[in-house]
Amino acid sequence: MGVIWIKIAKRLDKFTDKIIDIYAALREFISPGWKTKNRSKVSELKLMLRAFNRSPLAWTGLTLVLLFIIIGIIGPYVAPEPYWEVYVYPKNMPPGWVDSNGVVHLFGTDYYGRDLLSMILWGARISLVIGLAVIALGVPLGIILGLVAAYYGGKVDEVIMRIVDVFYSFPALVLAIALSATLPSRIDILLREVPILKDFLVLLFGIRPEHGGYLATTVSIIVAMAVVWWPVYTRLLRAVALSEREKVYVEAAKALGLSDRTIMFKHILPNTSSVLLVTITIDLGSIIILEAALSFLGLGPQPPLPEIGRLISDGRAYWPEKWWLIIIPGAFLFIVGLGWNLLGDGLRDIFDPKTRRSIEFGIKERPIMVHDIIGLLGDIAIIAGFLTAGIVYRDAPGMVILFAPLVLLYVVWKGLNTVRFLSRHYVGYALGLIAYLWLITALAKFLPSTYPSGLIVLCGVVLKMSSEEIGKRRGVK
Amino acid sequence: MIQLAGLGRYLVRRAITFIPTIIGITLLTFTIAFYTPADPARAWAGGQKARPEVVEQVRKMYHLDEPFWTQYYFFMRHILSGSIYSPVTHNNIIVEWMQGFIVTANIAVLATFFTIILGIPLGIIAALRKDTAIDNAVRLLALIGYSTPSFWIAYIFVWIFYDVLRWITLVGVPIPSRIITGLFVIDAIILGEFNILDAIVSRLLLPSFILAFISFGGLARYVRNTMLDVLSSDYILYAHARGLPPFRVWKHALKNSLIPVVTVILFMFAGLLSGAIITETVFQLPGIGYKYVLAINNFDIPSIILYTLMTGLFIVITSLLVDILYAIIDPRIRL
Repeated sequence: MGVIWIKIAKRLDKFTDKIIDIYAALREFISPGWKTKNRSKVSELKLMLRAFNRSPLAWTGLTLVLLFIIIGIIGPYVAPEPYWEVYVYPKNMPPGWVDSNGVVHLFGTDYYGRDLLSMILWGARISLVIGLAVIALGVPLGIILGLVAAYYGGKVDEVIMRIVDVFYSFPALVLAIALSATLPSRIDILLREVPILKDFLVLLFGIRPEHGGYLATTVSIIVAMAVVWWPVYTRLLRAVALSEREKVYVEAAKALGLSDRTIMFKHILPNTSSVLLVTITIDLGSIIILEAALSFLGLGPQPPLPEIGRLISDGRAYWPEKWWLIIIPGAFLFIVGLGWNLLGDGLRDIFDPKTRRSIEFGIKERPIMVHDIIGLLGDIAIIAGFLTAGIVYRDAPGMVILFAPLVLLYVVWKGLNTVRFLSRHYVGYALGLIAYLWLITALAKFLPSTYPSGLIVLCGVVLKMSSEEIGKRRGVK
Repeated sequence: MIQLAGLGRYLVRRAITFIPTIIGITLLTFTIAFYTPADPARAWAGGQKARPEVVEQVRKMYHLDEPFWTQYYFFMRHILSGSIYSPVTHNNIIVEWMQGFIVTANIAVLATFFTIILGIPLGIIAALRKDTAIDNAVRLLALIGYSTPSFWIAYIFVWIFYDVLRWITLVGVPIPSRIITGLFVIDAIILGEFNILDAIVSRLLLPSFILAFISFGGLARYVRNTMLDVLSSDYILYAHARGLPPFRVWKHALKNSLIPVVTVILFMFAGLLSGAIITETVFQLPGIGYKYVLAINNFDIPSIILYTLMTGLFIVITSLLVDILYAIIDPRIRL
């Protein structure tokens, strides 16, 4: 097992090194001289990613988190059923239930007779947006107060820390419940008086505009959790900034006569970013679970808005005969929470110099080739193609057509590679991409008429440019 | 007594920071309740259909027409004199809180007990076998504990132990005939009421085990990290160099790494004492957490304030106790 993992990690190393190289080349392109100035930074980044590659748990976490984010973004668009059409099917049907139209419902139906899979896809967006909103509201406040407390010290520090102590004295759930029970009617007034905010939130949550009225409770749990969460960051930032304040670079900045604000935000804050990133990652998992717990208790988004904690709460009366009503949404929550925690734990390791030191050095710099960038563009084109086919056109055959040439090409390319027909990795990659784009344009003729519009035009342009490029390269060789 | 020099001065300094926190807690909880926009008087007088004069009377009775500070004063006076009544259930809230507290305390003690007996040995093993499969398993267990929604795992355990194995019960709270220590399990053993002991165990075991399940991995991780810190310190190296047998060295390491662990356990215990809201709701146990949710649903503001206040107080007092404990153990803090 271990040997296989090392092999995979070495492959990943190549990939991550390439990404960092491309990033460095871009920075060099924008501001010449960046690369020579930041050479140590580049190799440090590579080393961090190599440390990350050697941790299977961290990779699992990253995969789960990325999956959750993708589901959260595209969930409302790909959900097979709308959440607002209630009692379409009989309620609480088992997984794999087939309705009268012959449609299979993978996870069955929920308490309101809706497709449970669709409800989880809609609910993922709500969870993701709530999690990010709590971080976006709570973290900046916490950071500012923490920095100010640590930097100025004395009475300012004392006052801020006493306030933090007060908030720290409550378990997160208790204070969040009290706040989210008392806030909604005030938030309701706010939403009614500021329609732009409401429209924005409707867009963020991906819900129907006429359900904007249900947002009051949702926003109130966001505010409640932000109020509960900011002291965590104040304490964290103060602790880290206190030790940073004593370092020589701060003294140098003071001697140069920089303003307090510049020193705090431009010099001390960047040096706390690794700790912040780890904490935010882990906290996102906790926030999503806390939010589900609040919904479980009946606070938070109200039906018909699909919320995962709410789905579990609705299934309580039918436990354990209709186990899927609780097990499936709960498993989703658990996996999401585990993903954030695993990722955060992995990040903590890679930011820790002790762990990083154990990985052997030997990072070489390789010049960036044009085909590297073509390859990256190709990746973007492929992902964009999938998203367009999946979201905009909701086109299953289109997705298959995008995917099939890719598999075919991979097999062919792999075969050519093994017989040493293609000696250089990236030329092969670029060639493969061009062939892929050509195949799509060719196959697009057989597609339904709606499909080959924007994407194919894009493909055509890329095709034209890159075939010339390749021709030139060949001529040079 | 010379060893404890400076302790008095330290305590005074600590008390100066302690009092504003307490006042801050009461103010915060009261502010949350005070700015509730819905009219509590109308809700308590019987909802939309209530007659205006009754609503007015209720409003007078609870001083709801007074300004913020007057209401705060009345509230604090009634809490301190112990005579504060719920407008919904008409019971004395402090008495009700105490009834809930006994149940919660029982669960909290059992849960802490399970956490300790699972977490500390696992943590020590993980530290001694660093970077092995056991170490990674402990790490994964901790992460699983952090990311398990308690309401989800509770239902899975209920299915296993109630629906399949029939080991537990889910109704009522059995109480021994006389309360001596307050801990039902110990009281039942002292009184020799073994059928009640059986009932208590089968009712309270699972909720406390679930609470322990969520936190024992984290405790194990913490024990591992402090243990590793201690194991890499100079005096352990010296002990090795002096030729002490490994067992004796571990004893030294364990002694020093347990001090921060005790504080973590104390804080965890204080958190549990403020009510395991989700677990109590799932198991319908009439502890503080369950009553808190009931109060929220009934819009019972005095109860909400009191319950929030008490949880805050518990944690503040615990942190004070921990600080004093540290000051006695570690003279550097008293400086």
